[in-house]
Formats: sequence, C-alpha cells, structure tokens
Amino acid sequence: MICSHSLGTAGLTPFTRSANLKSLIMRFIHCADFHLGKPFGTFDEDTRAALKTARLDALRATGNLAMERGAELVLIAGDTFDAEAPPSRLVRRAIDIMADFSSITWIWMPGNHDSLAAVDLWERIERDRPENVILATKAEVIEIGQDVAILPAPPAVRSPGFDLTDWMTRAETGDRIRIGLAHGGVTDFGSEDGGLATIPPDRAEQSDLDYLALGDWHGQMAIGQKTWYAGSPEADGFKGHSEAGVLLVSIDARGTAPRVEPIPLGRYKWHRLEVSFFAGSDPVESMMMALPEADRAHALIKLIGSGRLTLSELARLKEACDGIADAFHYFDADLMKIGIKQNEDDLDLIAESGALRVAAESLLAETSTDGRTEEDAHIAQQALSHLFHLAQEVDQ
Amino acid sequence: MRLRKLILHNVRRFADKTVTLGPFGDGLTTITEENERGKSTFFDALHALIFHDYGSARKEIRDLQPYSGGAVQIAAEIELGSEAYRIEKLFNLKKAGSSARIISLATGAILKQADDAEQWIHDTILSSSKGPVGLLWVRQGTVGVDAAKAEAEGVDARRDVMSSVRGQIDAVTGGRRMDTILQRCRSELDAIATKGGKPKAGSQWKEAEDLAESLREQQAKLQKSVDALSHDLEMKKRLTKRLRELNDPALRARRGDAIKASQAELAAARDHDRRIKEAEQGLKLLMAQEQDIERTIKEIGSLRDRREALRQAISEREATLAKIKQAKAQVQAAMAQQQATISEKEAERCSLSDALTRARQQERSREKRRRLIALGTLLASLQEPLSRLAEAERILKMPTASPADLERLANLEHRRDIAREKRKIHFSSFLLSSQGEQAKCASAILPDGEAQLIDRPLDITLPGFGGIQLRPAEGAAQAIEDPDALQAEINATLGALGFETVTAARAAHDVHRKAQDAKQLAQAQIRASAPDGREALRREQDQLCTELGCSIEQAASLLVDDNANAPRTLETMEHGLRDLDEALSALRGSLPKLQDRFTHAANALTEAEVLLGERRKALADLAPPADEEAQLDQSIRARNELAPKLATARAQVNQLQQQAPDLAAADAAHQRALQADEQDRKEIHLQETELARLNGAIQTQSEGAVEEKLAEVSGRLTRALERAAQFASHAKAIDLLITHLEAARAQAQETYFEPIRQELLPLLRQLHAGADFQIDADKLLIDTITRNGITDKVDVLSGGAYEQIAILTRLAFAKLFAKRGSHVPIILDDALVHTDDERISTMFNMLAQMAKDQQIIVLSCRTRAFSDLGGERAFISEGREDSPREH
Repeated sequence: MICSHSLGTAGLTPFTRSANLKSLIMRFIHCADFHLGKPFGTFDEDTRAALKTARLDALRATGNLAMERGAELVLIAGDTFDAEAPPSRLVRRAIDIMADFSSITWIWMPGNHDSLAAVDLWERIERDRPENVILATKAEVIEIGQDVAILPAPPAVRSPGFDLTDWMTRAETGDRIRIGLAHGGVTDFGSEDGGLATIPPDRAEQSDLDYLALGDWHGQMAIGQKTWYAGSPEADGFKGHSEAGVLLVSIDARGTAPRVEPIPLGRYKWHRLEVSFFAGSDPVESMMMALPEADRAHALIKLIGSGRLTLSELARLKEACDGIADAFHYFDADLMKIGIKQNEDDLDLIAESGALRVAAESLLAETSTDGRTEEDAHIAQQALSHLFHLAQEVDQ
Repeated sequence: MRLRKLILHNVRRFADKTVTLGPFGDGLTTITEENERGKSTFFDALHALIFHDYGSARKEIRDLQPYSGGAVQIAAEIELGSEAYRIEKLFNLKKAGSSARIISLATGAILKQADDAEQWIHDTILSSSKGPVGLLWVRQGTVGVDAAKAEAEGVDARRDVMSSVRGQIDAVTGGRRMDTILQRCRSELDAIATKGGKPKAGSQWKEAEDLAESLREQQAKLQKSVDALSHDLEMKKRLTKRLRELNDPALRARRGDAIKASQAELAAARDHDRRIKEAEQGLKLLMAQEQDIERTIKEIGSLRDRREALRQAISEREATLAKIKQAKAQVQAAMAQQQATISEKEAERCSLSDALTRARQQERSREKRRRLIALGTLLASLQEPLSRLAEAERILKMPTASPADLERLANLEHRRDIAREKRKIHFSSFLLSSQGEQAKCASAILPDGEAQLIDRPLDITLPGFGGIQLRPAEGAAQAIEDPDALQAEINATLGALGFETVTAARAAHDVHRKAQDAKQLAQAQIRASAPDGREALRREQDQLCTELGCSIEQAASLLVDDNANAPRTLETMEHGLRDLDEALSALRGSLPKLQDRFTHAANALTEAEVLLGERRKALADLAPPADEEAQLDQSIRARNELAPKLATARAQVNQLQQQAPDLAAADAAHQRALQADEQDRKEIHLQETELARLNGAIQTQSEGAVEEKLAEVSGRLTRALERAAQFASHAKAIDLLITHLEAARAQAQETYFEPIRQELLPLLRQLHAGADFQIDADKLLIDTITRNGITDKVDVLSGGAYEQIAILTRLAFAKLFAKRGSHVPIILDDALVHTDDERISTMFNMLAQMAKDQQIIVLSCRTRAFSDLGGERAFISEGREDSPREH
C-alpha cells in the first residue's frame, strides 16, 4: 500500500516543487532515541529534572537545526518516548514543539520503547498531531511529494523477533529516492537494550535504499555508507558513545551516495573516565588531567580508578575528589578498584612499630586478592584506608 | 647503667654543703639512716638530675633549694658498659648560670654540655629506643602506674614508678593512640551497626535500608500498575483490531446481503408451504368422508356379528343351566342321607351314657366301703401312742429341778467343799477323848476322836473339868467362805424345789426329761396317723356307716362281692361312648361341606338364570331396523365413488411435498444471518464499552506516569541499595579494622608481658606458693592473683602483699632488662614499710638473689630491720667529696 502526502503549508521543499526535482538536493535530519520522559532514577532530584528537561529541549533544538540547515524533513527513527504510556502533558509538549516548526515535515515512527503496542499513545498522537507530522505507523510506503518515498518498519511490539525491514525489498517506489526508516539492532551489532538484533546490516543494499535511517543505538554510528544510527540527541549514560546529536543527510539524487554530517546537539556531556593510577605519580594531577575543563556545569562524570596507590596517595585522591565534585553537574568516583601499594612511609605514618603497625601490616596483607574474594580484599582496603585516616587525625 | 655515687651541693638541709652518698656496689647496696638524715633528698635530687632540664625552675627543683637559697648542684657518677661518666647539673632557678655537663671519669674530659648534655641523658638513659629505662624506682606508697595520669602530669609523673616502661609498652601495644583509634572505630561502628552487624536504628545505614525497602515496595506496586497498563494496552490493541474487523464495510455489506437473500428464500418457502397445507386440507376432507362411509359399513357389520354372538351365548347358557340344576339335586339328596345317619348315632350314644352313669355310682359306693374299713384299722393303731402320751403327761406333772437349779446346787456344793478343805488347812483342830461325860459346845456334844476345827470361838464345856474357850487365830478366816452357810443355802434351795438331796433332785430332772421325749414321740405318731385328731376319724367313720347303711363288717363282706366285674364294665362303656362321639363328630364335620356345595349350586343357578335373561334382552335390543340392508348398499356405493378422488388428492399433496423447499433450513439460515448481524452489533457495543473502559484505565495510568515512576523508583532503589551496600561495606571494614587492631594489641601485650610473666612467676611463688596471676597492661602491675583456685583482684590484698607484688613486678622487669643487656638500677625508697617480719625476710632473700646480676639500692629508715638485708652499705658523708662542679 502506498500513502501519499503533500507537504505542509509552505510547499517549498525542493522535492515537492516540480518535475525537475531530481536535480535538487534532498536534505533531511535523521534523528532518533529522544527517550522523552526517561526518569534517570539513579540520580538526585535536581539532576533528574535537568536531564529530563534537556531531552525535550533536544527536540526543539532538532527543529531549530533543520530550520538553520535547510532541511524540511525530519525523520524520527523511534523511541521518541521512553515508555509506552508517557504522561499526556509530555506527549502534548512534543507535539507542540513539532507544530512550532510548521514548515518542517516530521516523519515520526515508533521504536521499541514506544512501539505500536502503545495503542493509546499512537491514537492520541494521531488525534492531536498537526498537519506537518506524518506518522509512520504502518509498513507501507509514504510518498513525500513526487520524489521521495519513506519506507518505515515500525515495531508492532517491543521485541518483534523478526526482520521488519524485509518488506522494503518488495516495495515499489518508482524513481523516488528510497529512504528506509527502522528501529532495532543490526544482525552483527546488537540492540541498545540487548534485544534480539534482526536488521541485516546490508539492508540498504538488499532493498536498493538510498539511505537507511536507524534508531535504537544511542550513539551515532555508520553501519555502512548508506546505513546510519543517528544516536540519541541528548546523551543518557556513561556508555561512552560518540557525541550526542543528530545527522544531517543530503542526497543529491536517486542512486547517489548520501552525505551524512553528524551534528552535536546534546547539552550534557557524559564522561566515563577510566584512569589508571600509579604509585609515585601524583594521583590528583592524573585525575585533573582526565577531567574536562570546559562547561563542567553540564558535565556528568563517572570516574573509575584503577591501578595502585599508596595509602597517602589514595587519601589525597579521595580528598581531591571530594573537593572537585561540586564543580560538575554530577560527579561519581569509583575508586574501589585502586589497589594499595605497600609503602613503608605510609605504614610509618600509621605507626613505625608496635601493635598499630602490626595491625596495618596484617590489613595490608589482606588487600591482596590472592586466596580471597575481591570483596574481602576491598573491605580490607577500606579498613586500611580508614586506619590511615584515623591515624593521621589522632596524630593531629 | 649502674649508679656509683651521688654528690649534692647546697641542696635542702645541706645548705652550702657538699654531701656524698655512696658508693653503690654492683649488687645490693643498703642505706639505712634514720628519718631526717637526708636519704630522700638524695633521690629527689637524682630525679631532678635525670628527668628535669637544667634550665627548669619547676616546683620539684625549687623544693631542692635550701632556705638560704642559691644554686642547687647535683652530680651522679654512673657506669654505662665499660665507661664511667659523671653527670652534673646546676639549677640556678630563673637565673643565668644553670648548666649541665657530661664528664668522662676516665679522662676528666667534658663530653657534653648544656642541651647536648640533656640530649645525651635522654638518649642514653631515658630513651625507650635505646633501652627500656634508665632506672626503676619504687617509693613508699607508690606501687602502680596510672597511664592517663602519667601523661597528664608530664615529666613530673615520670618520677613515678616505671613511667618510662610505660612509654615503651605503649610503643609496643599502640598505647593511647591505639586506644583512641579503637575507640573511634567502635564509636563509628556503634553509630551505624548493631552488635550483630545489622543496621542500627536511626543510623544512616538503617535509613538507606529503610529507603530501599520502601522503594522496593513502591517498585512492586508500580510494577503491578505497569503490568496492568501493558495488559490494558495489549487488550486495547486486540479490541481495536477486532472492532476494525467488525466495522469493516465489506463485512457489514456481506451481512446485509446475507440477510436479504435468506429473507427471500424464507418467503418462497413459506408460500410453498402454504400451498401444501391447502392441498393437505382437501385430502383430509376426502379422507374424512371415506372414514364416515367405512364407519357406517363397519357398524352394520358389527351389529350383525353381535346378534349372532348373542344367540350363540344364549344357547350355551341354557345348557349350562340344566347341568347346574342337576348337580343341585344331587347335593340335596346327599345332605338328607347324612342327617339321618347322625340321628341314629345320637340315639345310640344317649343310651350308652345312661348306663355309664349308673356304673359310676356303684363304683363310688365301693370306695366308701373301702374307706370305712381303713378308718377302723387306723383308729385301732392309735391306742398304743395315746397310752404313752398319757403316761408321759402324768410324769411331767411331778416336781422336777431345772438345769439352772442343778447348776446352782452343783456350784454351792463345790464352794462348800473348797471352804471345808481350806478351813482344814488354815484352822487348828483338836481331838477329844473323854473319859466320862462328853464335852459340849453350845450345848452340842462333841464326839470323841473326831477332829474339831477351831474356826470360830468355841466355848466348850468339859464335864468334870469345867470349860474351855478356844479362839481361832486372828485373821485366819479371812477369804474363806463359811461351809455351813453354803450348806444352809443348799438345803434352802432343795427345800424350795421339794427335794431332800441334790441326788434326788438330779434323778427327778432325768425322769422328767425322758417323759418329755416320750410325749413328743407319741404326739408325732398320733399327728402322722390322724392329722385332724382321732375324733375327726371317728366322725368320718360314723358318717360313712350312715351313708352306706351298714357297719364296718357288712361293708367288708359287700366289698368282696363287687370287686370282681365292676371296673371292667365301666371301662368298656367309656370306650363305646368315645367311639360314638368320634363318629358323630365326623358326620357333623362333613355336613357343612355338603351345605356349601348346595349353596354354591343354588347361587350358580341364580347367576346363570340372570345372565341368560340379560342375553335374551340384549338380543331383543339388537333387533335390526327395517332399512339396514338398504343403508349398507348405499354406503358401499358411496365408498366406490370416493376412491378415485382420494387418489388424485394424495398425488397432488405428494407432488407438492416433493417440490417443497426446506422451510426450517431457510428459516434457520435467515435466523443465522440475523443473529450474526446482531452478534456483530452486540460485540461492537461490548468492545466499544470495554475500549472506553480501557481508555479510561490507560489514560489514568498514563497521567500517573507509572512507567516513568517505575523507572525512576527502580533507579532510586538501585541508588539506595548501593548506598546501603556502601554502609555495609564500611561497617565490615571498621569491624575488620577493630578485629585487626585488637588482635595486634593482644598479640603485642602477650609478646611483651609473657617474658615478664615468666620472670615474675618464680618470684611471686616464693611469697605465694602455687599462685598464678594476670598482668594489667595499663597499670603495669599484676591485675589478678589466683591462689588455691580462687582468683582475686590484687587491690583487695593487704597493703603489705600489694607492696610486695609491686616490688616483685619491678624486679621482674629489671631482671628481664638485664637479660637483654640493659642493666637497670632498682631503687627501693622505703618501699617495704607494710611488710611483716616473715615476709620481709623472704623479700630480702629475693633481693639478695636478684642482686647477683642487678644493681639494687635500698633506702630505709628501719635501721634494725634492714640490717639483715646484707649487701654493701653506703653512707652519707659531708665534705669528703668535692662539690659537684667547680664554677
């Protein structure tokens, strides 16, 4: 089945004007995985509120970007919402933002988080959507003007378990530019949620697509020349994805290679910093070097320390972490994996001799994982660090 | 270190004087001086020399200054290994000129001065790193170490016993630092955890746990809501799909067409059905006419058949009636014959009955005669027992004695005989032999040659002599009855009974008893023969004679004649009578059967006559009408005319029925089409209602943002669990730290004190055999002592015992230090003031024993007691040494 749409009120898009459209450049924004309403429950209340607001702002930023860069089509490749039944006000906000950009056509497809199983959600969107929003809720060709065919593969349920894009091969679109729109993991890559990946990586080639716009993976990624994950416009975790944003895609003509430009949009930068510390080097300096300098107020830091430090170095590092945490929007230092390096001076700071020294040495011996669990070794490390700390305080 | 000599100048009572105390030997040195001789001054000065900086102006230094003032100078000569040194200090008390020097006694060279000298003292004598202590000091009344007090009082306290030992022990066991850290750890652990390692109420850990629990509950509730939402969404999806299917226009059009088609088919079927019914109605009409004709023909035939049947029945009944009448007559004749036979038998019986009555009367007369004869015999046999009865009754009327009387008489005779014999024994007797007139007593003659008892006063008249009075002995008659009185009683009793002697009384009693027996026997025989008495027998005899009209003898002769035939005649007649009765009974018994047969025959005859009458009447009633034949012919003609019409009508109906559409099927098809449409509409209505409900539920959940809340709560739960885990980990870490600290301290204490214990144990057992103890690491003193299995705190001991233990502890420390190469002088300053003489001797022995490889300096004011201590003696001498320094 084919569904034809004339574009909004402007009617000025390059691919709707006339018969000579093929000579014009088609430009659109490929985005996905806004995950509006994502709760971020592991964070404190202020951080949660800020992160949630940022995701809605990213939608507006996408519209602004489309306006700025002359893209009158925005393809949303699923997971606009984080849940199947988001609050109605949130749905309303999202629709309103799209409506604000009336000259832009939004092709809006469900993802696995907001799949078609969310019947109520999509009914509400269908009911309330403005004219410039086209819902890609059926696996059928959406004709945009005379030159573009969108081939969506909306997930009917959260985990369909089969390849929804298979039908694209059989879809008749004439001379139109064929743009596939799908959500999920590719066969050799996997899904963001760890679900069964079913989209073949060469789907674009198999189905003669000019571009396959994918959603689900939260980092921007090219699977092939014509196949891209847009990633989440606003980062949402410490997985170490590339910079969050959207893709500006330009296609000169049917059969030509698309030009894809990743455009960062995310307000908050999530940094997973894995720092190896070495006894003898300044751990504070090592940490500072790893930390971003710019826009710390919008940086979320997860520092994971490893290596070995002396007790005094570890104490200094902890102190430094405590001191710098407030500079960032969020700062979490996991120093549990840092081993204790035996250092006479450190033990001397606890006691040069006597029972305290004996206790410190016996605890130090237990920080080794030889013959004991990591947890037990870590407990011993905590105990030794605490002894070190108390010994300094008592001396004071 | 060994102390050799102390030199003071201008110290307290030695104002402006130089005094020396020494020399001190390698082993035991005693200084026994009376009080106020300055012993303590020397050792206070030694404290100041070792423990106070030369620039000090503390009270301890000022106290050494004499009233006249001036700088206090103190010097000590010591040996460290093979080197001898002189330590000098001048305390000028806030004035310039204070100094300290270390001088080599071998060369006289000044080795250290001022602060260097102080450092030398500290490093060489006091530093715990170089040796345990400089010296051990036990002063009177100072036996323990208060660690806290020592720390608080600083240097002053170091004058107390073993303060430097305290420092070293602290270094080994961690001391106050260890205590503080342990205390901090325990406080921190106590703030968050219970003793069982669980989160403590009110702690941050517990708050985190509680929060996690609360979030877990929220999560579970939200999960339910989310599950419900998912379910509702799924349901809505299904409903929507189903509604879409139900509202499909094609389906709706199909439903409408189906209804119309089924409706048309149903109308056609109904029309055909109507035509069938009309044809069937016509056929039914013809069939009714046919049935009427057939019925008429059948009725006429039936009437004819009935008439013939009635005639046949009347004929049969008439034959039966004749047979019944014949049988009745036969029964009636048999009954008359039977009645005649009965009358004959009854007459015969009457005759025989009269003869039998007469025979029975004769038999009764014979019985009376036999009784009359028997009564005569019986009355004759009663004569003999009646005679014995009369004799017995005669004897019984004579006097007799009862058994009680005889018993009483026998008793009196027995008592009398005993009294006589007793008198013979108890009373004297005499014999008289008169030559003339016989003697008399109370006018009774006393026979000669007969023994006379003097059992009462006897006034005897002796003819020719006069008289003589004899008296029984006083009291001889006591308890002996008077035989004469008893005899008199016997006689009186016999007299009352009417007998002269007891023998006569007994004989009369025997006769009387035998008569009684004879009387009873005779009475029994009479009662057996004549229970009602002899007179009754005589009356019966007289009555029978009267009735029979003859005497006994006549009766006997008549009886002999009758006995021959009478019984047999009577028996024969009775048999004959019984036979007649039986025959009569049999005849009478058969008569009712004959009567019944007669009655039955009579009834059967009546019944047969009635039935015959009825049949005849019925036959009369069924007399054929005049037009019966014509009517039959007419009906047969009509039936023949109707037959082809019926065939035509049946063929028409069959044809219509064969051509008929299935009305029920058409109706069912139409109903099915209607129902399908109706069900669709109903389902649409239901689905729409359910959809509206689901929409409401979904909207409610959506507005509640349950998924978002669930994800948020899950995140918060993760965070709370992490936080709780951090606290748990922290608690475990502190617990582990405490464990390690306590173990290390316990090990250190054991390591440090065990050797001391080994040294102290043999010393202590010299005072307390078999005792054991535990050392208090804080007080550096024995904490508990165990003797004979009983453990006591050491501070409950007497002052003397406590003092001894304190000294022994120091001796043990010193001995251990000596073994490790650090000789430590022990100074006992009036330290055994509370010890009794016996114990002090033991203590002296131990001091002497210890002094073999240990310098011990003992100061005491108890000159006499300590004179037995032995060892070398040191003295205070004035002016024999140079002042400590030359300035």
